[in-house]
Amino acid sequence: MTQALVEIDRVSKRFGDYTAVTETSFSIGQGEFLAIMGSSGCGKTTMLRMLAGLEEPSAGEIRLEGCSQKGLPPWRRELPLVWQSLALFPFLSVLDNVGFGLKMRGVAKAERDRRSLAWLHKLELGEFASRNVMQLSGGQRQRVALARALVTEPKVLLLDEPLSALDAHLSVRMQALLRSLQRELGITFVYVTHSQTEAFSMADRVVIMSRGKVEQIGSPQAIYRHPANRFVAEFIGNVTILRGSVAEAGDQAIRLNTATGGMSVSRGNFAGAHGAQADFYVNADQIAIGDEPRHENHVRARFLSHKFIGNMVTLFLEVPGIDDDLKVILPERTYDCLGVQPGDSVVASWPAAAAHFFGGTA
Amino acid sequence: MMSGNGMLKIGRWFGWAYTGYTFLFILAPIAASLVFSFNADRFPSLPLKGFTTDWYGGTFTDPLVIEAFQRSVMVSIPVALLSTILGFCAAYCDFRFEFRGKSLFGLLMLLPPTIPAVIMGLGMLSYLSRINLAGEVWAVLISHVVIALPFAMAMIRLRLAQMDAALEEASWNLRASPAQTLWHVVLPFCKQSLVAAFLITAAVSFDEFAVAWFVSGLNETVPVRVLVFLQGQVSPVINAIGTAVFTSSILLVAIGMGFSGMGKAKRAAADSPAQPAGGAVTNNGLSL
Repeated sequence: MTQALVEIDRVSKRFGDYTAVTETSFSIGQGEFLAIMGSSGCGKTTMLRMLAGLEEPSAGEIRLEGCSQKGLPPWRRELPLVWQSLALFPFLSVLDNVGFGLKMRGVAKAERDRRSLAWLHKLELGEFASRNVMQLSGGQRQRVALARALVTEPKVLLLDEPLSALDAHLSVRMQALLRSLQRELGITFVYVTHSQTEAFSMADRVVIMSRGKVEQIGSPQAIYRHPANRFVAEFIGNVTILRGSVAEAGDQAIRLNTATGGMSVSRGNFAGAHGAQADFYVNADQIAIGDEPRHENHVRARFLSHKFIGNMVTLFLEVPGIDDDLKVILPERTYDCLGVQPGDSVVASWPAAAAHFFGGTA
Repeated sequence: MMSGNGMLKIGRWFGWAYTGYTFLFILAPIAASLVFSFNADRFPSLPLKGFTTDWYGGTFTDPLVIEAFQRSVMVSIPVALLSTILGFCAAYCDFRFEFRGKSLFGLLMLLPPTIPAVIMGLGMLSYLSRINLAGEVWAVLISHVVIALPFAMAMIRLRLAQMDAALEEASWNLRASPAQTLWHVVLPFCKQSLVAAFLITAAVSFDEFAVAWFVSGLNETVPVRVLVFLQGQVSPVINAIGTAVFTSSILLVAIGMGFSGMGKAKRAAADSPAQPAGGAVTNNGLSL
């Protein structure tokens, strides 16, 4: 990450008795694509509105290029936002919608139109310039909203779930467009979403929020491989969480006694004493299925059900002694070769390197 | 035993008949006035005696009638302008701000049409005479603003209710100050309802009789002039004036409805389902 462009410093926001954001700090780098992800009510939209100046933090400070934004009303900030509802002006043409920000900055009409039109052409909307925004399709309006925010060439663009109203196909195309635009312009994007697919496919770094607090910040890969805590693990949903007591500590791995027998877990920087209880997780895509154990950790399980996501299959296995189902993710081809049916008894096995303690590898 | 379909048909037939009867009841006297205004006989009785436009000719050369018409126009235009401006301010305050006693404010704003006209007229007369305005054109103007303002406020408030709250925020976000936002975003958004409010408040003022009768003194407006005529004699001139007043009012209201979006209900329904509601409620407002 390069130098910090936006710094969020111990920011809190309270609405009466309700605390939307609690003492949150993180910084956003120049040219970074940052996604803030969480379920509804986690404080992600409040965070974005505080950046835009639409809400004032109850405590703490937001700095843009080192300058405190405290007390600065939204109309004095340079942080354009793309609204979830798009908030296009229905009484203006496409061209005038895009040119609105320039008009408010006192740019003359000819220059304003030239720059707006250039953006419309860039986003393949040139032919719609004189249309009313209400006559456009959802995807086209989306691009008008984007052009309106980008025409003033900001350093940071804020996006509030901009793709949530689009169908899946259009959403994927817009994701590609956003990603390539961001790379090309080198602008910092702060992208709020509840969709894991959107966040993980576009962002350089993802901030996972819950109940007004940051649970984890990291690259999509890091969060996917090494969730920081139980909340993130359950939110991302690609691991199974197990529990055991420390039996023997080795250099590389720690041996635990669990309800289903002894297990080896990567040591990381785990410091639990002998006999201590500890949670650990097993990555679903590093578990092998077969008739015989292929790795040192293995359990006998009953294959319950499965679901297809793209060309991957998630299998749910019932393991005696643990409450949750053991999740296994396999490529569809591998699953077909296995030839297992729901109800079959199988052996699931994984190496110590596929199991980790929470926070052990941060 | 009747089939469900048959019941539905009878129900629909009854609906049409009832609606037709209601309109007949409302429009028959007006139609009679229209017909008799072109009747050669000076008494409104059947059979008709022949076609004439004499009553119109006679009416619009009568200096008292001309003066009353001029006065009505001179009052209704400023009334419409003031009511629309104040109505917008009130509607925007109600839309944008949270303040103590907001519900009381809303109640007070919409109170005037619920007060019986005679009570309102008496109250206005006693108040305006205390400040030495009774009998002046100003008195009619002030009273009519009080009566017309709630209509303007209600229409504009309905339009504002259709505005995405993010629209103002988006404008601020694009560096428009609150004042610029009001001018470049809120007013254009409300434009149609502003024009509609202007026309309908003009019609309210042009038609208003009871309060004007109390406060106008010698400065008679058209409806007051009509009553004075009636008290003197039964003249077909009344029918001519009535028809002219009715025509101008209905035109104002119809154009106003068109601007408020009701006339374009079909197209608006495709854009936003909320659109025709503005027109429909306006309709209720008028029947208050």
